[in-house]
Formats: sequence, structure tokens, C-alpha cells
Amino acid sequence: MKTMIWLQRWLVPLLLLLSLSCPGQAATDAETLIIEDLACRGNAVTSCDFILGHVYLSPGDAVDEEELGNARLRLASLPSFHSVQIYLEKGSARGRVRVVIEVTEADPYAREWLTGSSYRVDSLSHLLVGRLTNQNLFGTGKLLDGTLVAYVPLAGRVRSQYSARLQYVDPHWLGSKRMFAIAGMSGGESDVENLDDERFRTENFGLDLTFGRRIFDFSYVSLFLRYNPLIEIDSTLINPDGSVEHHRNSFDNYAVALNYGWNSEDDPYFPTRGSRASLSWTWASTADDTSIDGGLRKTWTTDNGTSWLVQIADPPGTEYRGTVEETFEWMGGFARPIAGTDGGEVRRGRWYVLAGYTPIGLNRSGDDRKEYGLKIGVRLETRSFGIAEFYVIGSVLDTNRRDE
Amino acid sequence: MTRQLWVAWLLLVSATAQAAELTHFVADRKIGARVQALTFPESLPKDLRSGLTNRLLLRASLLQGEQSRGMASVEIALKYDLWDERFKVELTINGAAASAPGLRTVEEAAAWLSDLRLPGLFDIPAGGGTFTLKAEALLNPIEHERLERIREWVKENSRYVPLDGAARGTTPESGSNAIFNRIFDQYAAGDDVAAQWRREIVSAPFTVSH
Repeated sequence: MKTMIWLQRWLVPLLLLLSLSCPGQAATDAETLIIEDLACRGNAVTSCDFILGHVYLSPGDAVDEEELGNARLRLASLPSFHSVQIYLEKGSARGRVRVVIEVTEADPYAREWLTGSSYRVDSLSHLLVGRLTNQNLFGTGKLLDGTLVAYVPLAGRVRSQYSARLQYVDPHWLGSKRMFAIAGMSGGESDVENLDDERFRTENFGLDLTFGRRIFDFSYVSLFLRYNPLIEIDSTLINPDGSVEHHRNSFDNYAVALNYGWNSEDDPYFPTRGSRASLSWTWASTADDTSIDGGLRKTWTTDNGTSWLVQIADPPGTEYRGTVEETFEWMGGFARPIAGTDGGEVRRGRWYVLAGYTPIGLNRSGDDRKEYGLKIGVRLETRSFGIAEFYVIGSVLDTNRRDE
Repeated sequence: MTRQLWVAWLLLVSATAQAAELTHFVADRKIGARVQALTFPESLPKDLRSGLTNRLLLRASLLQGEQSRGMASVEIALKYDLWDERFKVELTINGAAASAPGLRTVEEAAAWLSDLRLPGLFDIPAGGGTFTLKAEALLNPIEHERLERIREWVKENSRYVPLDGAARGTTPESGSNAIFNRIFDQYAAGDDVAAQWRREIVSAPFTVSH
């Protein structure tokens, strides 16, 4: 009897609580939408698998609005799309929906142009660089990238270079988030006359492979392998006694390089903060020694919007490619932003002034030579031409007699 | 010449008509705000019909000269029910639920959003005076932590390789990632909440007596 009274005392409020909680639960269930299907719209080039790979929901899952919002932002971060919208459509029954990802695809081709006039010491020349990249090859986010470089001598000491490179980049090799692979071919010819009147003409063609891994937040390591089936070097050397020597060599070789790089800059073209560095150790089958190259760049911005830059040694590239840039060994300067135009032709830009110094070393007479120069330019992001940069660079030679 | 002037006048009128407007009203001894003609993004009608929740956050302040005399927040959540074919509307003013209209069509929802009447935002300051209202409207705001997670993802997954090298996670601007960069810029400027669409409006000065 006592048990019955105890049950009645506790069971009634318990049932009351249950009856109150059940409608609440039912209301929640009624609002929960279940994904029946996911579909893509507007994707002419990009594969639907690629798009859905950015949506971490599957048929049978409940609609997670936050995840759909995140997916929209993830897709919006890709250069493949002009706009991304996600919406629901009625499914086969109430509470079952189709998730539709509708995209407007952007032009998969990115264009970049660089042109500059150079008067360095006693050589007048002009640099022209053009680059075209398909950044959504096969609709899968792979890259096909072609670059042409022409360094045209105009007057004075000869400095010329004509080269081309074509490369295929898989930023996510073997489906990995961190591994990348690059297959490339490049070739060209250069003709350089140095301040000691020595002249080197080089022709080269080679094939290369790079395998790399991004590590930590901003770093990467990579292994670079290159086979050069054709190298021709034609050199004119001046001996200490003033006699002239000509050499002509033709050979093939292999090169292996280990690279470490770092890139924490906040913008590819208009960085306001962060740094970039590269260091590579290279061995070539035809060289007696290995060589080490590297460079460092640091950018920061002060409250008035001026960005400051310091760069040492080679301009550091990224895990995917080197940088095409005319520089001094030590450089420093500032950049100011340029606002976009009303019509939208110029989206954004900056002008910059950089001062530089390059220690050249001793000449045959024992004079110590240093190059001091200035680079002034403007870089714009335009609607019609992509990235366009114009600059002038000039320098003078300072020669000091060394008493020793 | 007359025709050119007529066209210029029409353009001026249409431009004026599109400008957002913030005005005050007093009801139940409290100051409310009326927000009219906010120019929402073109995608809004489609977003409203998406079956997903669209949120509008309004952060208002009552200013006397440069001095803030009060802050208020308004949150609007709109979700279209695909089967019932009507909107579920939630209006929250300063953390308390407020009555919201019943909306059946996207046109009705867009019309409501383009003329919002928001009562009871501020108590009338003692002594009254001349004030201005300032409001910041954010559509589908994104909190900092969530954006950081996405930023991390972008850093790991960006596929673009620029000529001059790039940080992972940054790309030349397409239409959509311009929006994305704009959101990042708002955080870089120190804002606690960011959104792909954001407008700021200020009212004309007005006098209220206690």
C-alpha cells in the first residue's frame, strides 16, 4: 500500500513533466529537416563532386544551417566562383529537402603583367613578363600555369633574357590537404655581360618535378628534381694578364634541391603584414660544390596606412613558384594604397618606392664596388587585365679604392 | 537642354529615393527608430526564399553630441517554411522578444525589411535634449570564432598560385571572394562581428523632452 502511495506521489508529477516535455520535443522534430539529396546548379566547368566536397553534409543528415553557411564561405573563398548561393527545395515528403548549391563560375583564367624600365649602372633594358593561369583545370582546382619573361637590352652593357615556363600544379597531391606536386618544363637563353667585361651566353631546356609538404601554419618543405637534356654555355673570360679566353660547352645534367619556405603575408599582391622567406640547397651533377640560396621579406603597416617592406637577398617565392622581380640585394621602402576607380576597372592598387644596395665586390684592380639604386612602381588589380605592374629602376655604381 | 535637366532631376530623385533613412519616434515614453530604404544585396530575395534562416542585426546608439547616451540591439530572424509557404519571423529588441508581423511572401518580407519600425529602443534621457541616432545593420553576421575556423580551412586549402607568390588563403578577387575579403577586413579593423553586407546610417538631429 505504501508503495502504491509512493508511486502515485512521484509518478503523477513525472507523467506531467513528460507530457509537458513531449510537445516540445515533437515541435523540435517537426522543425528538423532531413537532407534527401544535394545538387549543384550553374556549374558548367566545375564538377559537382568538387563543389560538394566543400559541403560537409550528406543525404540522411539533418540540415545544419551553420555548416551550410560555412560551406558557402568556403566556396566563396575560391577564385573559381563569382557568387555562391545555397538554398533548400522541397523533397519527397514534408521535412525532407534537397540542398542546392548554385554557383556562378568566374573566369578560370588569371592574367598578370609586369613591365619595367631599368637603367642599372650602365645597362638600359626593359623587362616584360606575362602570365596566364587556368586555376580550375578540369573543374577540379588543379592549375596550369604559363609564364613568359623577356628582358630586352636597349643600350649599354648587354643584359638579356628570354625564357618560358609551363607547369602543372596539384595543390592537393594524392588528395592530401598538405602534400603538393608540380611538373614543369622550362627553357630559355640569356646573355649577360658583367662589370669586368666578361660575357656569358647560356641556353637551357629542362624538365622538373617537385614534391612538397606544407608544414605548421605557414611553412613548407619540398624536393626539387630537374633533368636538363640541353645546356649550352658560351663564355668570354678576361684573364688577370688581360688576355681573353673563349669557352663553349654543351652538356646535360641533373640537379636536386631541397627547399624550405615560409609565407605568412596576408595578401599575394598587396601585403600589409607578414613575412616570406626561402632557403634552398642545390646539388648539380656537373658542379663540384653544392650551393645555398635564400631570401627574406618582411612587411608591416603603420597606422596611417603606409606599408613598409624590407627584403634581403633573393626575392622569396612560394611553394609553387619563384618570384619574377628586379631587385637589389638589400631593399627597403614603403607603399601607399590606391583606391579602386568608380567604374570598377581598377579594383585596388598601390604605388611604392624602394631603395636598394648591392655589394658587387672587388674588380681586377682591387676596387670595391657597390651599387645603390631606387625602384619606383605601381601595381594595380584591374578588371580587364588582371594584375598589372609598372616600374622604373635605376642605380649608380660606387667604386672605392681599397688601400690594402 | 530641358530634356537633359529632366533626366538629371530624375537621376537625382531616384538616387535620393534609394538612400537609407533613419528617423526617430517616441512611443510609451521611449525612443524608437524607423529604418527605411536600406539597399540590401541583390541576392536577398533568393536568400529569403532559401528555406534557411536569414538574420539581420541592428546595433543602434543614441548620441548627444559625441557622447553616447544609450545602446540598443535588434535581431531579426526570418525563415521561409517551404511547405506552409510563410515566414517564421523572430524579432528581438534588447534581448526581449517583440511582436513581429506575419509574412507570407518574399515581397512582403522585403517590404517589411525596407521599412522597419522598431519601438522602445532607448529610455528618454533625463532632461531631454537634442540627439542623433546611429545604426549599423549587418546581414547574416558571422562571429569571430566561426570565421577563424573558416580562415584556417582556407589557409590549408587555397589553390591559387599568384605570380608574385601568395599566402595560402588569399587569392585575386573574384566577385565572391571580394565579399570574403571584405569580411576579413572588418575583423582586421578590430570589429567583433562581421558580415558580407553592412550599412551604417545616421539620423538627422532631433529634440526630445523628458
